[in-house]
Amino acid sequence: MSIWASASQDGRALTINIEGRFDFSAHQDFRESYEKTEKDPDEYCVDMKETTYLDSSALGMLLLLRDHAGGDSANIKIVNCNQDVKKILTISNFEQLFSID
Amino acid sequence: MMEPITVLVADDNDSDRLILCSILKKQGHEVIQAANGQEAVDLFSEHRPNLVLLDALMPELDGFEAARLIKALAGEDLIPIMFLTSLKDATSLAKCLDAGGDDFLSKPYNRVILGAKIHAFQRMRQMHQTLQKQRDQIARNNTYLLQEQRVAKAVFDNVAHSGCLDAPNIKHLLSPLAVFNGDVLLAAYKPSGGMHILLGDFTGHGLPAAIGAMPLAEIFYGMTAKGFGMTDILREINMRLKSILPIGVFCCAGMVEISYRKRTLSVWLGGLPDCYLIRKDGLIDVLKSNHLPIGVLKSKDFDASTIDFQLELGDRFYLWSDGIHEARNEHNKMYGEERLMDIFVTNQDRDLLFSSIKNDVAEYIRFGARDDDITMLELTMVASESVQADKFTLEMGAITGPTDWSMTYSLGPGTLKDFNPLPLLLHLLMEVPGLRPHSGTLYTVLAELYSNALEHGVIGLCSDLKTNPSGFREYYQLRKAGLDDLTEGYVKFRFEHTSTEEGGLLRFFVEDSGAGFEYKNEEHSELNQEFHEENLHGRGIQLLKTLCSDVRFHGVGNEVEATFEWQREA
Amino acid sequence: MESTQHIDEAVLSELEEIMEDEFGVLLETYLTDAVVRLDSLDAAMDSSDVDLLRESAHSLKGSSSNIGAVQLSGLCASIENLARENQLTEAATVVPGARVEYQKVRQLLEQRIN
Repeated sequence: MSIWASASQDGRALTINIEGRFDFSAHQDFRESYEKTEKDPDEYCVDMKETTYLDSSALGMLLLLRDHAGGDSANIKIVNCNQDVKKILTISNFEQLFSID
Repeated sequence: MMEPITVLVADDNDSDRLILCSILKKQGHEVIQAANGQEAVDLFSEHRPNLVLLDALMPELDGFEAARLIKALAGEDLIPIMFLTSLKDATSLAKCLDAGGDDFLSKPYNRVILGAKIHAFQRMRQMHQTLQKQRDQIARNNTYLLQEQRVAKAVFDNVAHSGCLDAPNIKHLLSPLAVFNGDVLLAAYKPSGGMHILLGDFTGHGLPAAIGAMPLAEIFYGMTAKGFGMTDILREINMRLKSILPIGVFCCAGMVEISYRKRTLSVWLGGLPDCYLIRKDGLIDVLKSNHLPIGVLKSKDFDASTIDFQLELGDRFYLWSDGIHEARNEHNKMYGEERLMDIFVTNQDRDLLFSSIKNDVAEYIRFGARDDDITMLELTMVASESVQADKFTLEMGAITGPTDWSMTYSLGPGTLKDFNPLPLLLHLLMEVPGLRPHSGTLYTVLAELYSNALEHGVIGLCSDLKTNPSGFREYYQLRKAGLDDLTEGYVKFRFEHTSTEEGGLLRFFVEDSGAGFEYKNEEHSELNQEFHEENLHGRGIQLLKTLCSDVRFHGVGNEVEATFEWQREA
Repeated sequence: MESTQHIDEAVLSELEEIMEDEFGVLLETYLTDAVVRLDSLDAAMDSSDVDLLRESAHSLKGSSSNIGAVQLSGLCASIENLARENQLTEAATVVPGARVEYQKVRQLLEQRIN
């Protein structure tokens, strides 16, 4: 599992990439990926292209990100989900809270 | 400077021993001397030195045997043994290590090397002590933790104890320490005779999961017993969990309300895998979670809407957490949804379906990692007589409480619009000692009296509408419109209770602001009943008459009096 | 056997430093103990006891090396090896040499004590 984040040049968008299993062991890395930005981005993108698996604690971490990004006013996209990952997000009806591609 | 230690020196050669002792003393250590192996073992037991220097060849007991005995005496303390030897061949040196030796010191002795070796042992010894201390601390903590979990489980079992998971139409699977896996399974009879069932799966494990389970169970059982409906309960649970749980911790859950009388099933699913409803004729409905888990959304955004089904006797509903789907075999592959669906499709005997699933999953994970958090439930629609609802309520508290009393309770238009007074009123009545087993009947009586007063009295709806299905719908539309536009009107409750030898006499007076109707009270209501059928407000009054010993009207027909006689149960 | 040096003076000086006042006691202890071992060597030869021969030689080898008596230590090592290989006849030619060497060591050490 590895997580890395990259900010757009103007710093207004942050993309977080998650590689491998996204579960409780990713807790620390995931949080640091968005807490260490110099200025708060306006929009976030969680790229799951390399994500193989997601568990319920990962859902919890996404909620933490949402809270960090302003709660109901947060602008977060989750992109490139494989079928398994998408299924878990759908079961939990996370499309009500995030924009999921 | 080294921390001084106690060293046992065993050598049968006096001059060698003398030299070694002098070196050690010069370096600040305490020295104990032995001239043979047996003496070494005896002195070791007596003084428990920190380091032992042993000559390999000694009379009485040689160094190898002495080393074995000393290691055994040392137990789990780390006591390094250094062999003093001028032996050079590999076999002899290996023999020293086999006997429990940790190092060698060869002759002629070199004080610099000896000092360095002792220093190295000191570091090892300190590390070992730290490790031992930490290990003991962990063992102690673990004991406390297990003890705490036992207590917490006992408390939780008490909270969940009033449940009815043992009802004849329920089969369930729940691991013994499920609450610490984050799984919760609750079932309770409703006062009106149906049941509420909730299956929850908190994110995380251990204490955080168990903490959320407590208020969840309290609200579930408390509100169900007081007559609240499923949507009210879900809202309350969501509000409470949202306020106490940290962000990121939530509860994937499914809740059902089943009515055996009406044969209906209402389902709310938030974050659980697809659940199945299997009809008697073999058709399978797949129910998808259409809500976010409980504890995620604020109250104003929470959606408690349900999916409703009309069932037949023998229809079965299956609810589970993701434990089954995610159960892994020895190749770390998940059980998955398809296998589960296969069992449903191929199943021939519905009565064996539940155990088939259970066995198939158990077989699948036989050699896999042991996860015990598989929670599942089967609920079968049965005739209402076969589900005994009153046993659970018999558990009477101390027999104290109000016995002779009366009260009035008036509701104005603002309150009538969107407040359901029944749970509150039922709750009050339940304070009467011995009345609790009658809560189902009382709820029905209150509900009939209230809806008559509100719908026919205050809003002025005509019950004729309810005679055909389309009228039924119209009736409820009018009811809603009437409530929305309500600016005046009232419903007044007056309760009078007196105790009797066998139990008590409870009188309900319900007055509304409506115009009333033409009525004729009879002393013997069972005679000639159909004569008044037209005038009485629909079939509700018939039901009241079967439940109450007397029902009569007052004033212009805008006040009804119902008398409920009850007997204390033995 | 050609002897170059009976005592390693460096070892002895270091011992003197370590032992301080007890240096004399150490040397006397060594000399007394060595006689016991030499007697054991003779007894072992008389009774053809290779185990006793080996153990006695091993012990005297160790204490001699500690005291800096390098020649004597070397002779004892030879005896120990011969004993291990059961070569009693060969050993018989070396054992008397050990006692001769001991006399020289004794002379040198006694000079040192006084």
